[in-house]
Amino acid sequence: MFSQFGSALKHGARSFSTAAKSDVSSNTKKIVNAAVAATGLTAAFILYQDSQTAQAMTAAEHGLHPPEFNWSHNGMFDTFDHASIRRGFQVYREVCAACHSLDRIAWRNLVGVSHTNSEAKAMAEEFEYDDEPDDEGNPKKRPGKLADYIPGPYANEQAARAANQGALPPDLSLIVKARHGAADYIFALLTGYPDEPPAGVTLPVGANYNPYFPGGSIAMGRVLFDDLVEYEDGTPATTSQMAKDVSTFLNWTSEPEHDERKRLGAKALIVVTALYFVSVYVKKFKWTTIKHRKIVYHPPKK
Amino acid sequence: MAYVSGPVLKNAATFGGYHVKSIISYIPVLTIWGVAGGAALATFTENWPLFQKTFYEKIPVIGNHWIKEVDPEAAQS
Amino acid sequence: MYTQIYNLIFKRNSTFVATVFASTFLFQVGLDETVTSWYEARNKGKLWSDLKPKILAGFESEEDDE
Repeated sequence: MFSQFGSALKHGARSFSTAAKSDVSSNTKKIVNAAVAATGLTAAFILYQDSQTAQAMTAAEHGLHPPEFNWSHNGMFDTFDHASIRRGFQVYREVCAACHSLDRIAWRNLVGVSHTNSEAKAMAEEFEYDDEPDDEGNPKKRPGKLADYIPGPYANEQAARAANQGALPPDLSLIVKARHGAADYIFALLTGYPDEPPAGVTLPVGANYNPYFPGGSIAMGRVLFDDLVEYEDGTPATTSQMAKDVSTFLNWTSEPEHDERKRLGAKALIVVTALYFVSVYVKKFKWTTIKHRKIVYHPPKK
Repeated sequence: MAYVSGPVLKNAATFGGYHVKSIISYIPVLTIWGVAGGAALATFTENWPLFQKTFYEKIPVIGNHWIKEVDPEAAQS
Repeated sequence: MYTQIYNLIFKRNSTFVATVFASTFLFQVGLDETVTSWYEARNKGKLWSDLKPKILAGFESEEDDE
């Protein structure tokens, strides 16, 4: 049955080629056929090999997608809640700072955002920083200044790994920008630790289970528990309240320009909208003679 | 009949190669251009702290626009 | 009225350019003030300016322990 098609094709090819030029030599035909066969067989072989292993990207390997939370700074023109940033810094300082650094935030960045000038100065002075050596070249220390950056808990990466069973606590300065889901992810991760890992999950020694962490096995344990910190403004320090505040704070450290950016965005929208309408007017003005002309045709009278 | 052999030419007073009369006639428009230039300079230096502190903060009524106090506590401590 | 405006502003290029730049300067200030006051009214209660008096008052007469 198929040979019929084949012969039909052959006939067609022959008649076509005879119409054009001389016959295609049988050698060329053989080479083309061989090349087609080799390509097809290779493709089939590769497909077969590929079908022997299966790689499934499961939800567990991806990490659970965090739900979208109703952050008070979600809207186009919404600023951060600065009271929340202040509480979040307190949570960072009392909880997160035990393992995580905040390298890119200086004490001065807090001034006028979450702390007053004298508060930030007082906090900076609690830490010692390297000063210039004295006249004999001996290293000296000095109390911190507003211009100093917030010191991390470990001297270097090796010290951090050694203290955490080989796991490196990431720097939190830009963590909200560095993770899918941003602040939603941070909140979901901090509040997402189940009491026990689900059945069938085996974890390495020292690891904890968190469904929002890709792979589920995270070196950080649950750290936020109710009433862990005491807020100075009297806000009840529930786990989710602390997670919300610290997520807001970390969102601010990632995007310190956030409030000003949205203010400028509002200005830009106003100006650009106005310019758009000006351009519409100018276009209409320039085209008006062409758009409104009238073409009259007087047919010739017999 | 008094015969004049040719026109009596007199040089008009000049200043820096330009006739004084034409300089005077240009003064009003050049003044306005000066004002325009000043306004252009002000427009493009509006966000420049040096200019804000030296000039714009001292403008009556709208001068407050450029006065920014992050944390006035700074003076105390 | 139109003649007056024309004679005062549009007739000479110098007055026209001066008007353009002077009004731009004032417009920048006006737009910024308007948008800022709207923005701060919209976000009232969340801003640093709302937080600071509370900090200085020590959060309801409690001692500020920071």
